[in-house]
Amino acid sequence: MMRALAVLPVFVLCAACAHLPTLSPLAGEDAAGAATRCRQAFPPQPWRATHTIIATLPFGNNGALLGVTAAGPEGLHAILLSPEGIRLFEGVQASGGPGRASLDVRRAVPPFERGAFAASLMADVGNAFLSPPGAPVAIGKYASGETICRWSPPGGETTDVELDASGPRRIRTFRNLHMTRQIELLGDAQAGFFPGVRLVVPGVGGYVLDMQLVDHE
Amino acid sequence: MRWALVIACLCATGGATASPPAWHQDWAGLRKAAATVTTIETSFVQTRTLKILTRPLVSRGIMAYRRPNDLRWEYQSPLATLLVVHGTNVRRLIKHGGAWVTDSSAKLEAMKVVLGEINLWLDGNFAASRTFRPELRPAEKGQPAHVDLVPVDPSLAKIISRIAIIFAERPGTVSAIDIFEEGEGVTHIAFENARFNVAIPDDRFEPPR
Repeated sequence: MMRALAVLPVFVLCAACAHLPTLSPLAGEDAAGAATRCRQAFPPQPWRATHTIIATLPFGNNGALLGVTAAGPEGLHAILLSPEGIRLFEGVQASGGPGRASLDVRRAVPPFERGAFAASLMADVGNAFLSPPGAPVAIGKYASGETICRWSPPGGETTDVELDASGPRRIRTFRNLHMTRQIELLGDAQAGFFPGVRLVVPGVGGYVLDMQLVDHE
Repeated sequence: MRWALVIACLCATGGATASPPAWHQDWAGLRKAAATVTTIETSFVQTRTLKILTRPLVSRGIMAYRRPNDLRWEYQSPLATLLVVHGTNVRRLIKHGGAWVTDSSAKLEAMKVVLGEINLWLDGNFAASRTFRPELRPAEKGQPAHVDLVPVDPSLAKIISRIAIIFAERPGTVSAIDIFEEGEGVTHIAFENARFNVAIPDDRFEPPR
């Protein structure tokens, strides 16, 4: 029974990978109110924050890090520190969207210098803490009843923010109809920062990042 | 990650406060003084400054050391991690969901090499280090007496430009450690409420059950 429960989230994630969930549109004031609440999933810029990060990686591997992030007019700045305070990675994603040309990797100590690590890390941070540009293209409900705001910028990932009665609870991103990340927002937010954030990247090579807020300004 | 561990273990060299006497004037004095310290139990406060932060990142923890080579280096907040060394057994753990789990990012063989290096330093035998070039600095211009450790390997120097181990008043002990990165802040570890030469039970150097 416990094993069955343990694998249930995997099936849920895989099921969600198959297609972009359809939305039953909300109208009028309900939609406007939902849009306002969905934006509360993301802290207003500029901001700086520090998190603890426990990474659960494939094959039972894991590690612990400190993450320092900041966002403002210059873009998104992310630093990973070892518990001992050693700077292992530092990158700045310039404003204007993701792309190799706009990503400045200022430091990458092995194994953080590998392949697409920098772009993947900045996408993790961006998906969790930066609001997609513009207004939602759709506001509605999943077939299962959750209220959703959907952003779908041209050429970019689709982002769904899920609300419950207390506010934003989950963020899901999709590329080519496949879910790329699910981000759970845990606890009550202060100035747009949630005490806990759990980021799940599904699939082979997927991983889980459990982040706890230490400080923000 | 290996060099991060070097630093974590390096920090296990002491606790107390202040500066002068003669015990740290030369390498022989350092070795002689270190031999008088058989155990250390201390808390520590680690302060990390970064250009993008207006407030430093503060971590707290405890350290225990028992000669010849038992060590406990534990961060208690904000991230709970634990390194325990008991004889030849080395474990590094992370507290996750209320339970201690093995930190698989730590490479055990590399860790043993590093711990061997650190044992030299715990013996006050800085001059025998193959990883760092040590330079003794007497107290001057308001700076306490300390030893500067400069990486020999250029690849390590890209990560850490210099480590300063600041001596305490009590012979054979240190009050603080500063770890410098080229152009990007410093990690300051200050030891507090240190106790020396008090018996420490074996289970302090074993993973939590």
